[in-house]
Amino acid sequence: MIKCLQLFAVALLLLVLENGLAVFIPRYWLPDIGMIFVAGLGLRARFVPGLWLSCAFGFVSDCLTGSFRGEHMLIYLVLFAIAYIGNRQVNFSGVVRFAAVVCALTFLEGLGFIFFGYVFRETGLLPISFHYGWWVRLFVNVACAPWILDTFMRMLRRGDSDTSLRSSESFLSKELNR
Amino acid sequence: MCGLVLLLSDRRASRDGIGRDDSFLPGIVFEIMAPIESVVTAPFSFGHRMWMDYFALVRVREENTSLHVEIDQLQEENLQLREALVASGNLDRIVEMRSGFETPMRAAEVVGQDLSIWFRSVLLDRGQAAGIYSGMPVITTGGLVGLVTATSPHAAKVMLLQDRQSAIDGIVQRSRARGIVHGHGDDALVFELVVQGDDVLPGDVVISSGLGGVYPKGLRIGEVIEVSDPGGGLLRQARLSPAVDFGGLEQVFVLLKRSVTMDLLYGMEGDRPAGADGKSATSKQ
Repeated sequence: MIKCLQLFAVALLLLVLENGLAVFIPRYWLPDIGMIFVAGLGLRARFVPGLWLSCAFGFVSDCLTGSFRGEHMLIYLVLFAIAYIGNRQVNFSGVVRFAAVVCALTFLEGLGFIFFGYVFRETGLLPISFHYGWWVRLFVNVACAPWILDTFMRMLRRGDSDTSLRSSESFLSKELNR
Repeated sequence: MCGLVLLLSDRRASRDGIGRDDSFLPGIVFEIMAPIESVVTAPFSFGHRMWMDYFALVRVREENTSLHVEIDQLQEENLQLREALVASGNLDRIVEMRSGFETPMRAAEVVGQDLSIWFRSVLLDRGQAAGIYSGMPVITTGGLVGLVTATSPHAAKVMLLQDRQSAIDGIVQRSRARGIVHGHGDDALVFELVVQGDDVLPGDVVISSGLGGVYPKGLRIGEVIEVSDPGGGLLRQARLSPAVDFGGLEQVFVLLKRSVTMDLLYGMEGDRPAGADGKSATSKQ
């Protein structure tokens, strides 16, 4: 439980730090911490704590962004479920495979927002001018995901008494040493 | 299920205009995150200001000289216009009208940005305690910024004009051509539903028309950068460069007077606590 809260706090802290960096860097060029966090949970965490953490992070994202409440929450839950179930069927270990998973999830996340925008906000389909930002974000997510996930995994490695989350090894170091 | 229920209830609230001023859990998130974001963002903002104010001042001398020339020209033009107004006997009447339009404002710092590429909003460091409520327009010295969409006692969330949900009735200042300014989620704004024969040219300034009652009339929205004719029908559209640098927002002003339309949507004046009507405001427009 404590480990879950720690992980959640680290994710929030990264989100806030990223907010500070947004003063210098255009937001398209910043990774989507929430999505990567959820992808990491799907691949490394147990089902129930992972589900709760995805849900909680989705709720915070809903509060801090312009989305309807529940929008991020639902999308993150679906992404978590896809990553979790997919990881049981296909071996997602390895940096390249993980990057591919993040790429697919970022794309699905975008489709989710387009769907909710179309159905609930009547904002219409995505304007062509918007596609640039989406592709840039996808690229940045893929490039940054292993390092961000590594930060989360380092958090988990500290102390093994809490078994609510399963991994105990640095993701990146483990994968790069393969 | 929980997410779906929240989504449906929020959508209903948004449609019925119930607003987000009294939500407990989001309020807690605002109250916790706003000060943290304020503290963490401060050094980054300081660094950015240092860079912009001291290191990025190359060629500022030449720019200063050309601006002085421009100021002289504008002062001359201003003087001529004043003379024309006085000659027509309208100046006193205009001054009298303007004092009637003064709206109390509250300054607030931007402490957080929406990092999602799907939405455009910012988090302010002031909320209900400062008299800020959902439905109040937000401006800067440059022009219109957006609308307050959610508040807690000490924080508020503002939907920017660039958000895809944002739509505002605008007019071209020069020709009075009317249209709707839509956010498309990216940096530019789109001035839509302009009638084919209306006079809109690149360089024209678009201001709020006041129609719809959400935003006051005459606030600067942006400048036309290109006019297009999609489909060749009865309507045209133009791309606008926003009057406000949304990426560099640091301080904004919230107009504390909510329009009648917004009062109907978000709750009547009487629903708001005393002191929320802007009487305690420190600055005037």
